[in-house]
Amino acid sequence: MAADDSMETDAPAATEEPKSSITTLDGLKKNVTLLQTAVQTSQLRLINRILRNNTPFRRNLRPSILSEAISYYLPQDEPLKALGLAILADLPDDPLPPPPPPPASSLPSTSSSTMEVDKDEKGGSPSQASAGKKAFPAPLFLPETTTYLLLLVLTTAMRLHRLEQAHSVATALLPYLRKQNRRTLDALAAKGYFYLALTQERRSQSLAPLRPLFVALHRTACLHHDEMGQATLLNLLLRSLLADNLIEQAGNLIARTSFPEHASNNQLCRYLYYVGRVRATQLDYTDAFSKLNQAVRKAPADEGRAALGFRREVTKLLVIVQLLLGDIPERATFDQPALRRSLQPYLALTTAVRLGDLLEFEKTVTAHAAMFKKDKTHTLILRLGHNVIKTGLRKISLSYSRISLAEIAGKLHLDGPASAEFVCAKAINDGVIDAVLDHEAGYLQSRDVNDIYSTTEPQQAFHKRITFCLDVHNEAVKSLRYPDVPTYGAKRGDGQGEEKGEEEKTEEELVQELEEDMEDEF
Amino acid sequence: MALEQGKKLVIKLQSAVESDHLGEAASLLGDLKVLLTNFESLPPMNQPSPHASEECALGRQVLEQAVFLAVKQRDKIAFQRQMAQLKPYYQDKGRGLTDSALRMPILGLNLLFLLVENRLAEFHSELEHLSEAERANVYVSFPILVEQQLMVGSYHKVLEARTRTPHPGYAFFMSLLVDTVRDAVADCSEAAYERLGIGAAKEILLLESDTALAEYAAVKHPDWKVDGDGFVYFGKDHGPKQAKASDVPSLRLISETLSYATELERIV
Repeated sequence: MAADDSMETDAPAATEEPKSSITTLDGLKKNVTLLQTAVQTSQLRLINRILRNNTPFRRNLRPSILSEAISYYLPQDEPLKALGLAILADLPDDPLPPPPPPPASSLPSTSSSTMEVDKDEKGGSPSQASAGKKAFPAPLFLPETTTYLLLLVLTTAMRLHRLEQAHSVATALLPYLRKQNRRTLDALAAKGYFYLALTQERRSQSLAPLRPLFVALHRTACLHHDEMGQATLLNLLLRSLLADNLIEQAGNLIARTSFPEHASNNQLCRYLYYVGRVRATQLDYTDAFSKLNQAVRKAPADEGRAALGFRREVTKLLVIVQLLLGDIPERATFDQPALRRSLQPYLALTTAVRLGDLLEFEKTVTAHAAMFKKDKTHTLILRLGHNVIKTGLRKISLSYSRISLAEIAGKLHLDGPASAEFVCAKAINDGVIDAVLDHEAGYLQSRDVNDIYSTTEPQQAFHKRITFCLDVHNEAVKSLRYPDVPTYGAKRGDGQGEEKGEEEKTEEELVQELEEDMEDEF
Repeated sequence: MALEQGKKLVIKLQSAVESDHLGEAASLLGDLKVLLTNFESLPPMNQPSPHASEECALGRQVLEQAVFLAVKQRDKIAFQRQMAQLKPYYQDKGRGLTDSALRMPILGLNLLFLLVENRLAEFHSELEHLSEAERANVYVSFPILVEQQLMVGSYHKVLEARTRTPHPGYAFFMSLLVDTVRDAVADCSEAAYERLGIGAAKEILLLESDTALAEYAAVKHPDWKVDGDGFVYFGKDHGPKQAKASDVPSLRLISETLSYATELERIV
């Protein structure tokens, strides 16, 4: 109990002022200490938080500091240690402005925070704490620490454009991760798989050979209820399938797996995008639209650079899907300052569709064909052809109450009245226009507009909104978190307000870091 | 040795398929399939073998002929099965196979088949596999064009295309496609017209005679009325519908209201 309390107080203390000490050894030490605490109390939530806090950290980390940490925290007989050190030694040390001189960098003498934790452990779990800690605080050798530090090696190597080295770390880490069977390692392992795939892709190699491995890992993750792993691996699989245009297989994979409920927002966004892409190819535009829309909304939405690439890709696809559905995307979609330039071809396309001008549409498609092909939206855009005709037809049917088929053929650049007749018949059947054809007289007669309020349509729309609101409420209730009751009671006396401030601050940081993370990974 | 035998048999099979000796071809195909199971690099064993690329080429050749045979036998189910077996050979580029000359016609056939079956999702998934150049290939561009015409509703163009098939194998599916098109036209006409002269209906539905029309209407659309006054009435009331008691979805309303009540209860 006492141990629990001290752990609780220890945790927030360690995240205090992360910005100032980010590049120093102390910062790294604090993170590792926090990690060890989290592992020993198996607080998975804490581990996730460390990973989130990691982004600004790994951007500013100097290889020399990292290698010092590795030589300290990793057991001597660990082969990964040698690998990590070798790679770090090879990296140029000074890509960043020199950090303020570390206050005191020799580890054993100043590792006050380590000492503290060790003391706490003595109270909490004597068996572990008494292991070789007498005068000199020996570090704890945890697989989590090893993984964490090696992941840092990997990201540092990537940051310095040493892809081969980064990839070799990822490959070396893989068997190590598979050997371990610790739930506290799951989140870190998921990161490891992610980086393995990422480095593979950056080296412009296909993910296809890794696919069987990922399938096996995904199965294991499912059996272990490892949601982080499931989500990451599922996304990696989908990504690799889509990269090879294996839409059918991707569709089957989606149909036969379920995305874990509590996976992180970033993974969910990606998943939604992949599903949207598959559904769009399979002509299920309604579903694709809802998935892509969710993806856009869940992605970080500030005006800055956060996850910009992702938002751009999703928005492009979303525009096409909307057009395929027969809707015209809102003008505001194209006016987002960060996206305006890259969406320009899509704006031109939308304009052509909106005017219902087939010639203009074809001109736009040919003009921007190369870009559409690069975006992998070209095949979808080619399907738009008949939508252009439909939109044109809809405009005609709205403007005229009765018009001859020959006129329609002329306006829509069709071959002749016979062709127009079929096209109109199909449009009526598809519900694009509400009209009647008269074959003998050869005209199209629009029908009077129905009063929508005489149908059950508004009621259904209301029902949808009410269910949505209720769902939001229920989910909010479900995800509320309460502090453990005894802790809360014990703390009530000392500085409740301070803790609240802390909490808010971390929330803020959290949001920011999430966004940075997104941007970083796409 | 088995390889040599297989090669000989394939040539025989090919000539049998080409000269329409379907019975002979079918029995040859049976023998060849049994033979194929002995090759190590092919399913079901999938082991590496020194002759892997030759074995794969042979397997592919057998299945390609099997696909054509299925088309000649007018057997859609067999076609689907052979196609499913053949696809891995086309997708897996790692086996050191050069592209088969028959690949494009067969992929085109498959696309056309999917169109006939109205499996558009699969049709588009298949298209994603093809590169730009492959899509421009005459065998593949044909089904793509047909699909676009179907989507727009230019049904008569689809029928014109019947005479311009790029490969003799396509004829069978095009004849099937006519039925698909006819059903689509019938659905559209039902929605678009109140009534249609019998002559016009015959023309639109591509039927030969009045009796064929009457028969078609009776089988597929029993609610149509082919009247003595020279019109087909599509039996659909196009006027504004009067709200009837049965139109009020009372059960749905009850369950929705009850669910609101439960949820609100929970919140309060």
